Amino acid sequence: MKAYIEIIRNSFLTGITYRVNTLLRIFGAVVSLLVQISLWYVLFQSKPDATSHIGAIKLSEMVTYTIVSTLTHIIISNQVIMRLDNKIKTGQIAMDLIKPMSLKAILGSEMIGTTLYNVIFRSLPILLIGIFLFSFQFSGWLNLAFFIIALFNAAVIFFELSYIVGLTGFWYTTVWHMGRVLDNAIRVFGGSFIPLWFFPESLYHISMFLPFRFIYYTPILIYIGKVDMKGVIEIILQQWVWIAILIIIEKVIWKFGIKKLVIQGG
Amino acid sequence: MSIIKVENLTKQFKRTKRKKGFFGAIKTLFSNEYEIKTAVHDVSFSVEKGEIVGYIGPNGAGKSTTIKTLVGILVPTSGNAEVKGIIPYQSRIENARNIGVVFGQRTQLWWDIPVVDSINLMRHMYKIQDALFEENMKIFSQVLGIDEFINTPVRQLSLGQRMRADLCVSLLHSPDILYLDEPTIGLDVVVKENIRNFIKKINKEMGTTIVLTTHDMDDIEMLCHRLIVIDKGHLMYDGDMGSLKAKYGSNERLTIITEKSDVDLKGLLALGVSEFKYNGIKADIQYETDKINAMGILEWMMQRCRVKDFSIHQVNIEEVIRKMYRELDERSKMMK
Ligand SMILES: Nc1ncnc2c1ncn2[C@@H]1O[C@H](COP(=O)(O)OP(=O)(O)OP(=O)(O)O)[C@@H](O)[C@H]1O
Ligand SMILES: [Mg+2]
Repeated sequence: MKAYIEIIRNSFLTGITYRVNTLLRIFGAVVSLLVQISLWYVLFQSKPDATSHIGAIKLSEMVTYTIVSTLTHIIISNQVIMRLDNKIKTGQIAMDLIKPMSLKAILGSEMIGTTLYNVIFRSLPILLIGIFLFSFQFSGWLNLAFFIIALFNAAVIFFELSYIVGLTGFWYTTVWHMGRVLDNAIRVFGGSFIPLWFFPESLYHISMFLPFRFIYYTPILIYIGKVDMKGVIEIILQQWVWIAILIIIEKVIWKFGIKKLVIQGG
Repeated sequence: MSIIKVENLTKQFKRTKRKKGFFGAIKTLFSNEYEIKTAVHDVSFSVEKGEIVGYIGPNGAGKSTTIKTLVGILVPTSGNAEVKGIIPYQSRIENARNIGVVFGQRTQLWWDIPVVDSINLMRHMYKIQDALFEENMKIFSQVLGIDEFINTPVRQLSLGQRMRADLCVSLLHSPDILYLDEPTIGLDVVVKENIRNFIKKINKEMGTTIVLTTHDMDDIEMLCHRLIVIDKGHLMYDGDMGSLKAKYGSNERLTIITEKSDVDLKGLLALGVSEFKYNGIKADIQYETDKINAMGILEWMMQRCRVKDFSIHQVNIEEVIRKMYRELDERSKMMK
């Protein structure tokens, strides 16, 4: 247990050593947020609200969605694929595999450290901008509490997906481009930029069969209060089912992959 | 009871066949052709507790591949390995608790933060008892001088400092077995000496079994009681240092500096010289000590030109191995 805390601490400290990088990324996130919100202002200009799969959407709701989505992105993002890609390509993965700890536990703890760092140093500026510049809606403690649970599950789902994609590197050595594919799939089917409620019928249906919407869209729905209690419970249960499925897939891939893994270099 | 047992170990790598040129590279993308590279071929040996074994051989011999199998991060194609009764690539995590590993070209330290943070992580990862931890840290700061840079981020360390820190973290939990893959690569003479002494001390005082690969003759001479030689994946020799030298090391090399002349050294070949190089000023001469000695060659030279300087070199292990391999190669050709 203490070992996990040490890894979390070390990866948090590693984040701190790159302050300039943090400043630049905060700047990037702020610009991206402003662009997205401006876009919604333009699109909503003439109308008080827009029609969607789940009823009328007000501009203020859309702005809140965008801010929460940006925050979600900062909190759940991980570099698992980039890290694995690097470790496999350089053979540095050997140094993780000689430890009496599973690779997943090491990567997971590293991710928690980075997340902690991101929550403290990167999400705060976004939250402040949202509150003071735009009409960011606080939608009650109960919604917030359920949102946090759903967000945690979302982080786990995203971690599992990244880990699975990363493990395919045991066969292909390099996986960062697969990471891009995953990112784009999540961007589209997860609803990180455009909420699924605006999707054309067909895309919307496809997204129902995929795990991606549980990363952005459904947790944010909970925060904005677009689902009732029954819906909230359903979402959380479905997230758990997906987590179970992904863990099974991951274990199978590991079992075959670890035999395939070739440690480069030496 | 041997602590390490390797039986008929074979490891093959599959490599995609690459074709030449730009279009070749594109073809490679879609081709399914593999070539098989046998890195380790039917190797068997065992190591007793408390031994220091030098595992040596030329570049690409298969040393690192064997070590990777023994630490459990590579699954052999056939054959098996057993370390302290555990099959490393099947019970990697269990095996990890018994071993320490240093790969000379890699580090297991956290790159951006001070050494002490990596040390603390190891302490908890291996669940090291407080008493043992303090005792080990005391030894390491004495012998390796860890204290000097314990609060420095790893990326700011020199190679020698980093290597000392890496040795420290790989030994904190007092492992039964230590694998060292080129631990002295790129280090200066003093640091090398330091590290050798440390390795010796660890072996003596803690009874750590050590498997060491290196290209440094002095490492082998000063550390290893026993040598295992491998080349092109094949086991070539397994025995003590002395008998290897006696068997193949009757070679010496003499370097002679002369005033410019055009002596033909071919005449020396009849006297027991096996190889020579001469550019009119510097002569490099290799000879068998049981046929001729340095004096004999010098006299021969002095009769023919003015000798300004000379030096005698003991044959080094690389040459011993090269010679040994050449002989084995010739023998296998004759068999055919
Ligand atoms: N990942 C790999 N894919 C294909 N071939 C490999 C791979 N790793 C090693 N080999 C081949 O296997 C052989 C043995 O490599 P290995 O790294 O074990 O050599 P070594 O004895 O450690 O050499 P060195 O002294 O240069 O470190 C080499 O011919 C190498 O080209
Ligand atoms: Mg090697």
